[in-house]
Amino acid sequence: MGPLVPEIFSNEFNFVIALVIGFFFGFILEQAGFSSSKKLAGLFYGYDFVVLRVFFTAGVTAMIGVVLFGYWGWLDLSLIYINPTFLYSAILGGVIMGAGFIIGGFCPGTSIAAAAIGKIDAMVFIVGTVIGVFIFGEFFESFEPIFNAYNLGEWKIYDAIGVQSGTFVFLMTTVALAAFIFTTIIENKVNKTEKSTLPFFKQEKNQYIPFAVLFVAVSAVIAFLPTRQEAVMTELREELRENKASAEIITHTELAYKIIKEDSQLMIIDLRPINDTLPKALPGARRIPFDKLLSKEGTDLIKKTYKTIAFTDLSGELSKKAVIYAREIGNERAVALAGGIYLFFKEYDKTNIPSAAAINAENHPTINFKREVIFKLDSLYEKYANMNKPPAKENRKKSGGC
Amino acid sequence: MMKSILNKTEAGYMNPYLAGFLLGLLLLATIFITGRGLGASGAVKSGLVSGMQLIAPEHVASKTFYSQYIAQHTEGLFKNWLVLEVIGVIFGAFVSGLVANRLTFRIEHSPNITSRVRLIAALIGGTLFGLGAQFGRGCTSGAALSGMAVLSAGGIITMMAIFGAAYFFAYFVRKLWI
Repeated sequence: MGPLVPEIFSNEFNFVIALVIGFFFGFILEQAGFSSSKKLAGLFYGYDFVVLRVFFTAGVTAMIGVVLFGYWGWLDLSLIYINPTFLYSAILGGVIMGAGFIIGGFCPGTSIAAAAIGKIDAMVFIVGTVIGVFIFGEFFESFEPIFNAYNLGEWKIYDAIGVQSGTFVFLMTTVALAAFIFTTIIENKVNKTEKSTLPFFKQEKNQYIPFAVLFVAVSAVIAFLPTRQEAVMTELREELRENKASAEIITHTELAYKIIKEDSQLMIIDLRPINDTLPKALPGARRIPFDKLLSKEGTDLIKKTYKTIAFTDLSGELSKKAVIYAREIGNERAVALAGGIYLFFKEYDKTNIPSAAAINAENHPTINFKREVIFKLDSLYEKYANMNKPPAKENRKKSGGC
Repeated sequence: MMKSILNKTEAGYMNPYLAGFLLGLLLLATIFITGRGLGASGAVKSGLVSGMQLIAPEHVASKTFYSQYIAQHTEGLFKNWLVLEVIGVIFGAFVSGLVANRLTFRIEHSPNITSRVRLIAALIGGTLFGLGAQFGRGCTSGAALSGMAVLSAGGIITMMAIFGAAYFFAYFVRKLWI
């Protein structure tokens, strides 16, 4: 379903959305007190932790939402913009921004919100930001090596530390909660001695407990949620076991017949991982590994094709699941190759071609057919030699950046 | 000039956890609708490059950074998502300031420093932030916050570097704030 742009909302409408989202962004920043550099800087001297509270609550909320939306299949996580990791540049940039933060008292977003309510220091900060980008632009050639060094691509934090995404969300939620409690203690201590002005937290401590419990509970559930792929698999497995659903199958004879007749209404999809090349995929088969089938591109293909899809894999088990999945998303014509590619090639074995001498009156149609298939397969492989590449991923431009 | 239009005192700020929760929902909605997160410094870059294209097109063409940007963003300044988002931010913050009675031209600074020092610090800080945001491929909103929401390692590394460095430098510039 999501992201809604560009398929549900047009790119033009997206600009209206930008204004609306920006409006709320600015409103919330200002309401939270981010238009005050004194409040922002308070984080680093312990007198006001508003930045930490807003930032972490926002991050954890959005993170939980993204993971849940992905799990429910509302948001295709393979299509959203993931900030790429260029390790050195990411650290260097962060350090420079950190210095800028504590010297200037704002970051770009908060300076814009502060300038909007008349903070002159924020306007000057924005002028500085422009100068900073200008310096980068002028000396880009010198910065480029470090800017592009150590590219780790769309590296996920949970892969970096070696846990499941749900586990990371749970960790982050508990760390945030611990930080909220701990910083409140610090804040109270600092402000007792220095008489600062912002007693946010004092008398209302207890009202937060239900919310904290809710967040921890939700993130704990997420930590034990299987990924979307695992969830779909489990569901399909159960349906198969309970015989609620039986997959339409195609026998190797029927499929072989369609193949050698070069049936134009047939689309063969090979569900094995791309690296599994033995035995060979059937001639003309598209390689779409099962997990890709569940993603947007695979799902779209299944939904939109007018051809009959024959799913194949080594044993045929995965294909049955794919057929049920196809039916669930509205394609009633998909079939699974019974016995899988293994049985298919056992039947039509190039190394074991029945000799013409073995033909007798009783078996001759079968043997002839077998021979015909084996010979035809060879010529079809040649024909498809260049077409058996994995389908090119639709290049949908992802853009982003701050 | 705009000070106390209604002769009321400033309203308090929103509860930070509520503000954070709303901001998180907004960020989630943004990712759900557009497939990307929030941002701010990208709009500054967009504005700068468009402005330079207008006054010094030859210089822009001669520099990789600007010409690459122009090549990737052919539609112009007001068809740039982040620019429109930032225009929205200005309106949103203004309305918030209006309802909270905080609209006033002023330079906020610690009593220990003069306005002049505050403005110089803001200029230096802004310059560093603008520069750093280019290296970090985004600022606190685009890299740190949005990166955290989509579980990007780079975004979270940048976030830790921002806050870590700010704590480190805080001691040296404490006179500016306390």
